[in-house]
Amino acid sequence: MNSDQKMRLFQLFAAKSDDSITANEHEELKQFLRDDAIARRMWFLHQDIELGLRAQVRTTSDELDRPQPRLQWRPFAATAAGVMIGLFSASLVFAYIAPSFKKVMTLLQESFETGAAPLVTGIPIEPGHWSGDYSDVVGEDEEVKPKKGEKMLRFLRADFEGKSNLQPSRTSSIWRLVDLRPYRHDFADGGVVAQLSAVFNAQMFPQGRSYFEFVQIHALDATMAAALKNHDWTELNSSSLALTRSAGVELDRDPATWQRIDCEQRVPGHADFLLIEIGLKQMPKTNHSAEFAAHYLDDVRLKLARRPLLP
Amino acid sequence: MLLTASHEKLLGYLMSLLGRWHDAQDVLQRASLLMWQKFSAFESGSDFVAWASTICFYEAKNFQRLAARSAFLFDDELLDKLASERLEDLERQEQRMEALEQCLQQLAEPERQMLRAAYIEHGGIVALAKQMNRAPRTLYNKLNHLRRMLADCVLRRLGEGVV
Repeated sequence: MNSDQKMRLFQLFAAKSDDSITANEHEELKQFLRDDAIARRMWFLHQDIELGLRAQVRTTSDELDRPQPRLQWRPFAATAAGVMIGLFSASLVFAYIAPSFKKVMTLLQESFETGAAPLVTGIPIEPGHWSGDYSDVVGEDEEVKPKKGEKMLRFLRADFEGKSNLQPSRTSSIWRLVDLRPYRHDFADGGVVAQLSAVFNAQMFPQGRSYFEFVQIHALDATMAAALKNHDWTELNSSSLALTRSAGVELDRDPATWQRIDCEQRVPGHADFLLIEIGLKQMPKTNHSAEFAAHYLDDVRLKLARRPLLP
Repeated sequence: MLLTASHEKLLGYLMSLLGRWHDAQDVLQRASLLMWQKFSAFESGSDFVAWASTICFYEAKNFQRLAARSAFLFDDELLDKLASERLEDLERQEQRMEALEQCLQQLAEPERQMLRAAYIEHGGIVALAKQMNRAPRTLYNKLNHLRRMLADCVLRRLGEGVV
């Protein structure tokens, strides 16, 4: 393989990784990979470098969440040692910061890139998927572009399958149950907080109508989580080990801007699950259910961060 | 613990089949759930990565079937070839990562800044270009050059030579 071919090969690799590859270039890449064992070896190397760079940069990014004198590169081995799999959610990254032991664990990082729409069955009964009111997953939609990746969630209605509509609802939300039990040793001492963030956007909506973002975290024990399977949600608020909610960020009328909301909860040491809810509330209250024709959610993140209790 | 220890390898395996980190992450999430459900079928003492990669492979194919971006997918024949060769290639991954760590130490601050912009946030390169009053394409070209330099550096450190 001469240097021109090699340069071309890496151009194609980069275009594929960045998702900027054209159809013709993709055919060219496939041809290289089909016919040339060295091209395949370079492809594998490229993927390992991408993986390594993401791990390195993400680690330093997590460190930036806390006061640091300046950005430093941390040994990959330390990062790799902390990388774990969330069996029911997303990958976890432990960011070790020598010399004192601190860490941030990303439990969930969701930008809806799989295109799978949430279930429309209300509060989920098991971990690993989104469920809630009617919604779907869309790509760029008129003036609104996804904040991250190519897809975003669009809220559709203020109800879900089988929900009684005797009382009109003003909110549309999605939920996710996250199993904390595999990581109990990390938070059992009560020295960990859960941090939830999400961004919202909307097309222009009618004057006189307002929409407010909200995010909520319930910490549940296994008994309460099991009760969800019976669709028994009546005791959810009162039975939660902890309940934290942020609300009040009003959506602006600019489709170019995404507005972020954050929520933080100290995780009880005996919690088994976190149940998160993310949604929008329409104001003012009307006699019929709210409409969510063009309201979007993207870049949902749930992290555990070590923060010792006050002395 | 087996999953924990094998995360990087399985993610690298899936990235080789799908080409995009985000897609590989999504498929690995789904595959992890399946591994959890099927774990009783895993024979203790056998090669976990080989067992798990089979689940990942079929989840990747399933993902492609549903992705509806047929012009930008690898066909089954190519997927088979990549999957079998990558499984053997994964033995080199750890050494590559260690070499990459050394190579990154040699970078100047502007190059590190570019990598942070590229890998931390979606649209980071565009924002950096604006900040530097440069065309985004110029920075993308520099980023690609940097990726190639890092690949050469890793190969040199591993004694594999530049192809």
